Amino acid sequence: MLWYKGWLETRPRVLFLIAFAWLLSPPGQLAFLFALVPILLAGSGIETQFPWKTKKGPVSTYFTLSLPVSRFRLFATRAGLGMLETVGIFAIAPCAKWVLFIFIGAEDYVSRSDLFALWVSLSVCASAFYFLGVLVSAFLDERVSSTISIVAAGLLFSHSSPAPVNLYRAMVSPLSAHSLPWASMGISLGVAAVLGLAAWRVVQTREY
Amino acid sequence: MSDWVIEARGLRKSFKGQPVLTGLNLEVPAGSIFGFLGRNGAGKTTTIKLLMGFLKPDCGDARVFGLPAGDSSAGLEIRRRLGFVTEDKEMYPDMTVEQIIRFTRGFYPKWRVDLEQHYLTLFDLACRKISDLSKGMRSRLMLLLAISHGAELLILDEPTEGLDPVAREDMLRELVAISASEGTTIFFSSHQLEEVEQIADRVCIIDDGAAVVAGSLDDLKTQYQRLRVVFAEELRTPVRWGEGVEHVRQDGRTVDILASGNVEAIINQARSFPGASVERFPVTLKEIFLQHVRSD
Repeated sequence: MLWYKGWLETRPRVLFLIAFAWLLSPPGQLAFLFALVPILLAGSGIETQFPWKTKKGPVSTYFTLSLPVSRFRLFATRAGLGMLETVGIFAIAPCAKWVLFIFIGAEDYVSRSDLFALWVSLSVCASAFYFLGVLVSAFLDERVSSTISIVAAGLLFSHSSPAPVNLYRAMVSPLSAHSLPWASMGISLGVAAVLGLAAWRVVQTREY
Repeated sequence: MSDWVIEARGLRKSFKGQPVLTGLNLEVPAGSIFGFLGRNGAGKTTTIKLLMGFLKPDCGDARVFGLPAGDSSAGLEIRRRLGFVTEDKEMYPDMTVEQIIRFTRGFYPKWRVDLEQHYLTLFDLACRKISDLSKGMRSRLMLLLAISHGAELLILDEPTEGLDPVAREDMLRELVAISASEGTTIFFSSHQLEEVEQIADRVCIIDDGAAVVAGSLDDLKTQYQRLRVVFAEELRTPVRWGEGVEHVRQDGRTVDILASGNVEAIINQARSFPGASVERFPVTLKEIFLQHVRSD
């Protein structure tokens, strides 16, 4: 049931982000904006409502915490759902555009293998951005956490960083390099693991 | 096994160095309707958050069903057995009433469909989105969710806030009914002294983070008396009243006394003045409350 709740909460964002990712495909100069997808879907499962839904601060926190569910389950379900949605969006939007290109007889912008590599690199490199968002949302309600995460992501993984750390460039590199950015993907997973563990520690010990 | 459903000993909690609870002791017996009273900022909601495990005490011990409230695994068992109405009455605005009932039902294997249907009809909640409900309606929905899973204990943080007088009366009647029919213990905080007096059999008044009055409402009403002494002439010097006098107010020849015990001795003392007459009146919970929480 927690999946269902999470889906109801994120559904408008998912639909918006599918359209957003569709517009960004095929990835060009604005490819770094793909990083917004995981950040806008990140959540830690306790303070869950998105800003435009309510007039005041975090809501439903106490109702959620009063359920006979461990904080770990709340956290893991919400974090897992957001990540799955991110991966799903990265699969749907570029693939749909690719199918459309074929359907209308336009020039094929990417080979099938590159499209698959793009999906893998987008999804894996997005995990660092995603868990950055999860960590920030463990401290703050989603009203402000998304904004702070976007700023933090900009500072942490600067667009001008050296190649393996430049996750923005790595995300779409399969289209130009025709191979997976293994070093960047490894860095992203490592950063995601550290941020995810830190977020869980915050949720576990925080007082509400 | 403890006789108390809720038990707190020497509970202390501060926020940023500001003490909110300063050694609260609390005992809530099984099957009782327990009114938890205090001014704004007295520590009622903090106490409830500690009992729910949302906060951890700086020191002291809080137990619910004999289990430590701050322990995460014990907290799961506690939350399985209790129903909670939050102070903010906020749930998930994206859901409809039917969706949140289905959602909540999934966590409780002993969900009572009969109670759910009864309260759904009584509270007239069907076919609405939560974001469209007033605070009073959300309060009723939360109560429905709390009751329908067969809770042994209901913790209600100002449950009648936002309700009109008719709805408030209905809710109070339902609380009494659920306590009587299911043996549910009800622990509720409120600013409405009249409603506490109407349904509670026990009360605790807290002030500055500690209990100042606690006990059975009947015992308190027996213990506390208001006396009106009319002297033959105005007193030149104030009387040094005996033990048990909580408050004295003099107006000419008339002296009003609120006594918390030793009433007969106080009456005898008053009658020792030539020509003095004494009348005694029952006190209301409001008088007891105001006497104990007024800072002046």
